[in-house]
Amino acid sequence: MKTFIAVIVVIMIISVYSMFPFEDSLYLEKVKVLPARHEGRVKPLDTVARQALLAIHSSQSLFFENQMISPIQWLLEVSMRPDQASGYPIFRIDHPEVLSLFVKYPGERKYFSFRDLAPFLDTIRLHEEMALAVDESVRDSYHNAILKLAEQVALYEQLQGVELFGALDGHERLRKKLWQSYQEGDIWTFSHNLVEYSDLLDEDYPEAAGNARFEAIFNESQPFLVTIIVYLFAFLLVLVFWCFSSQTCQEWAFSFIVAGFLLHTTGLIARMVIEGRPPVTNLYSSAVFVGWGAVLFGLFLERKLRDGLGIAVSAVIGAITLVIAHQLVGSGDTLEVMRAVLNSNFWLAVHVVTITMGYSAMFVAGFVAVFYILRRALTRRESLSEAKVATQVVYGVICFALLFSFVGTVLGGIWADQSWGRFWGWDPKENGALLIILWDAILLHARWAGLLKGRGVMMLAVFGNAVTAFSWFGVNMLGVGLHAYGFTEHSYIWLAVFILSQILIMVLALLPVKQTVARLRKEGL
Amino acid sequence: MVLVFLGTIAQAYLGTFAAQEFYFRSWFLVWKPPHSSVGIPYFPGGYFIGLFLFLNLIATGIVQFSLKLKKLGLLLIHAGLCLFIIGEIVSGVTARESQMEIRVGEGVDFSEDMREVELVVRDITEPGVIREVKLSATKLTPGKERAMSDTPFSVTLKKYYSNADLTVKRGDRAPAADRGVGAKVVVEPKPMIIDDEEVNNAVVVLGLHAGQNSLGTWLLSNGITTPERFLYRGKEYEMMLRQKRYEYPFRIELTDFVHETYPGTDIPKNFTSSIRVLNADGELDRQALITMNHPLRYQGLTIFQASYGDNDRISVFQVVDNPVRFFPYLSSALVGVGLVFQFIITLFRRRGGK
Repeated sequence: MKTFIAVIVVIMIISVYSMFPFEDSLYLEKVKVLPARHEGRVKPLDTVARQALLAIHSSQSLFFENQMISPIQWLLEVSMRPDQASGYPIFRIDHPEVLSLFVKYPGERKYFSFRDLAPFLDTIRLHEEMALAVDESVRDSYHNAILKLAEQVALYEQLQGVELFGALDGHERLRKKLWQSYQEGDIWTFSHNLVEYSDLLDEDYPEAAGNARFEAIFNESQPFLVTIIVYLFAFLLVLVFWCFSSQTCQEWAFSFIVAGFLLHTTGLIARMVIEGRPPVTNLYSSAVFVGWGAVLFGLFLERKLRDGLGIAVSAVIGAITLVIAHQLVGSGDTLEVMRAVLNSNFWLAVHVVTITMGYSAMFVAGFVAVFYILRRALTRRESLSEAKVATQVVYGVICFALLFSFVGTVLGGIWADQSWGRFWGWDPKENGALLIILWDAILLHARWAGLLKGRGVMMLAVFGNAVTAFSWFGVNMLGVGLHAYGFTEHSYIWLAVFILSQILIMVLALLPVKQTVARLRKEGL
Repeated sequence: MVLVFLGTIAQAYLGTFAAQEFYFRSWFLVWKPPHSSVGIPYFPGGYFIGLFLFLNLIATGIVQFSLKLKKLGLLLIHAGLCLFIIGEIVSGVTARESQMEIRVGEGVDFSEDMREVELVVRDITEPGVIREVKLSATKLTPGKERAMSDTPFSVTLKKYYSNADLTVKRGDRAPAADRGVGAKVVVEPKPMIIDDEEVNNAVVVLGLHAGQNSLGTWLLSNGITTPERFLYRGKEYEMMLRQKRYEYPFRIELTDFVHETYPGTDIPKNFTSSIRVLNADGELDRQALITMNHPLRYQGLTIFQASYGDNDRISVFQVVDNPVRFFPYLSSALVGVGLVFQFIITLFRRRGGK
């Protein structure tokens, strides 16, 4: 019953998001869902607009004269009324050296319009060339900043005057009329023609139009952002449960986690439908899936233990991975097409999914250990029976993690053999997977040999978080090898912070605590 | 763990090949103090650890060996792991990768090593008949004279540059050699390229002799495509440095190459090469399509689509010769079966215990 209510609440939140009157004009709603061909696939103009604005402005909303301009509105302006659009403060420049190229006394101002930068285009290009001549590894923040600005300016210039309605063939006359009417500011005629054009497209390309509509709704509803909120709320409820031991809280928390999980699942499936691919195809979708897998594990855990630990682990991992995913949105189309060497649904479904499930399991074991250690350190007491249960849980999940990681790695080797002619090449990503397997093996063998007891298992499981994070993200940052697909800049710091935090928690585990079920002999490491 | 971690980070600095050689295909990690040819080992390398793990597994297997059914799972798992290690060590030594570049409408019967170069001397006196003798550059040691079999010649390596630029001699800088192109150029050494995609411009300066007579000092490079020519005793010869070739008793012809992109973009969707394989007698032996994720397996070799060039008129294949290619499959199967066994046994134990 509670779950049902939770699901209703979530649906309500999603509806609010979807219906948020961002566009106060009907024609914008209509033009958003028009199909366009871009970067090799058919997508709604809404996606094109969001991507473009994000790439140039680093944000999906643009403010001008205290009014918010939506991505689609901006795109229409840039393409059909570039003179008007050139006044929008779209370029964001933070770097003082770059600012000094345009402004004598760089003050507070960070945002510049194309009109502001127009007299300096040659200067920008000149500095861009100079920066490109510098070897990549020795470029400093100034070089990177100027290169980024040059890239954004180039993107903007490409969009000026671009034909938005020409992706799918046919109806040239109508398209011309659309163009003209918008340019003249005659919104009435534009809307009128738009309705006609939209209906014609629905007739000619029913599948493309339908898919585009679906994707536009998906964009609007932002399912993953809402999921983060739901997970965080569930976590809050768990904290209340732990503080006040209210069983109702635990039940509500569980309901909300389930509701969040259902939303998470729906989002994942929607992506699969839009792309026509298995769930994990790039770094973004791997983050979404790792979260999903972890929440799934956590739900099973909660059913078994019923002490809030499963919910807590689900909520934390789910929220963090979705936030990571959100950060990755800026690196391009998250529903991008697969380049040739990855163009195999079979291997994507089998190898990639297994490996990411391995990551999920590692994080679940690791975070169970984190919570356990934190509770132990905060309350300065430890119940030996609970310790035993927790250790068994961690041990069990690590076994799963080892199985998934091993099978996933072997499948990767077979794919590599089919694709590059060698099963194993000591590629950074392969090495990362090997590190996870080795670490799990060390943990399990140490426990079986009696070298490790409860606390030691916990500490090693926490380090497993660090190993997995390195294997998942760290190896991409090296930028070499055949697996360098998801290169992310400037994430070094976050990775380092995370790994340090895990080491700190490991150290916390060494704190002496009062152990109930009093025993004079020391137990554990 | 430590070795794999260090070996992974190093790949960003040394390049994947060099890092793999240094960390994984070695007995020790050595540190060479500057100006010294003696290395100090400071950490065990891949072979060492691999062997150690292998012996450890064997030892455990012997000590704990029991043919009891409930131990069978563990036995299989660890036997499979042994096989993985053996496979990796053996393939590290025996596997060979090379590239085959074929233009549409043409065929080749050899592949090229991307790293090693060879010295080639050809007798081209008779038109249409080419007598060719090869000598791998790895067999050249500075100062030592090496005979080129079946020719009256021997060569002495004077200088070897793993990567260098050649610039036209200006002013009074001494040229690199005294005959041929070498007399007009100066060598500018460069650091070795670590990028796996690019080839180093190797340069050798060698002295050519016929018996006691010196035929001059020559400069050769794999970056110079025109061979050096010279006469000796009325016969005409050609000499050059090129990527080491592996010749095959068959010929691969490229009939078509298709490069599919996603419409409206440059993003590659698929690469497909239509090829025909002709045996030594020139008869058609096989006809196949080589595309991404679908290589051709022929006579123990694996030939797969690697790259392309010249506006889709050239297709480049990677040729892998790995006699222990099937080892990992066998190892995986062993470990897989072992894991399943172990899982079932544990399941029964749990059920039995309750």
